[in-house]
Amino acid sequence: MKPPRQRPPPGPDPGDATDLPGLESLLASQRLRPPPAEWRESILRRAAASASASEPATETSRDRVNGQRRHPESFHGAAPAIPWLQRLVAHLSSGWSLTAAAWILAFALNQYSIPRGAFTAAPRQPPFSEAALAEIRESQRALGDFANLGAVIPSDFHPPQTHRAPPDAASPVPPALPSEPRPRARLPRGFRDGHVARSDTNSPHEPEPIV
Amino acid sequence: MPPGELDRLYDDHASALFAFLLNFTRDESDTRDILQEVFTRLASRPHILQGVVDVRGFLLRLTHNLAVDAIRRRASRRRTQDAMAQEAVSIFEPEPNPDQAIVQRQIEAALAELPPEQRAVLQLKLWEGLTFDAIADVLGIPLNTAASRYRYAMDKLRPRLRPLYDEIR
Repeated sequence: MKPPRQRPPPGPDPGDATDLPGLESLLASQRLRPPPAEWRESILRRAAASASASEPATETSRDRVNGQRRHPESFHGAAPAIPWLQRLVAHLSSGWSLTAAAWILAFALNQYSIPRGAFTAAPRQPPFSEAALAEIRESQRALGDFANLGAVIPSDFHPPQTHRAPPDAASPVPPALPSEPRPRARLPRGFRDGHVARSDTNSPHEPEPIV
Repeated sequence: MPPGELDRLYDDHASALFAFLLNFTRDESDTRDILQEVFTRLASRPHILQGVVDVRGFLLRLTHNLAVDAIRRRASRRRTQDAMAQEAVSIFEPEPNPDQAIVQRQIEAALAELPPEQRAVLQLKLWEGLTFDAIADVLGIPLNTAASRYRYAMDKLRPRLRPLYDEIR
């Protein structure tokens, strides 16, 4: 069983403002120390030096064009686009605008960077006239007479047949060599049995294979 | 910034900023560094004072923020902030009267035992004469927090300074 809470003894509250009423005035009456006098010039000089160092270098006449401050060289050509880019970036803050920009970018890349069907399809040709067809047939006939093949028309063409060797030639066993060995060709100096001696050492014991 | 403006700002506010910093950091080296940083920012970015009505309050707020950063950096070098507060640094002007000098030392020792945030509130209330509303604005804390920090600080100072108080009464 918890004992009953005891009341604090009557008396001044330690945090009461009436206790030590003059303490605040006693504290406030103490004169605070000023900063050392030598700090003033040092701090102000260093602050001014830091400010001048953070500014751009001394401006010359080349930095201005018609009285207007010239942009850095790398942005000079893109200066007219800067306001447009700023507006674009400002509008890109919303998600819908970002999505629209992504679609536009994808469309532009698809349109200008990747060849599409318009480039790959054969161009449509106008139909041949009767006179042109007669001329073509006449030239085909003349060509056939010249080659003794008759008229060459597309229906006469057949796909090329695959050449097949005779059945006996398909055997993996090669034909027998003649019994008499063939005379070996005389190899030039430095070549031994399909190998060439190393030119740097000229050692016959360490041949390198011919690649 | 117009020429001479930085000098005028220093003459008008450097003493208050110095006293606040010295009481808050208890380190003269840090105080100088932070004061230098304040005026370097003012010189390099003079536009930050455009539209500021209470320049003293603005500078105190800037100073406090820089001091908090400095204390955090220093806390990594030293053990605790209490150890920093134990440093013997004089925030009051040297007193030629020996009795008054003793009073100063005892007050300084009692102030050094307070947490830095309570010292900051005490400094702004007693020596800058700011209201709790203004103190809350400078330190970036709620109004009730500023008032309670002041009350806690005085609650600690009263028993600590009671012998001195009774002696000089």
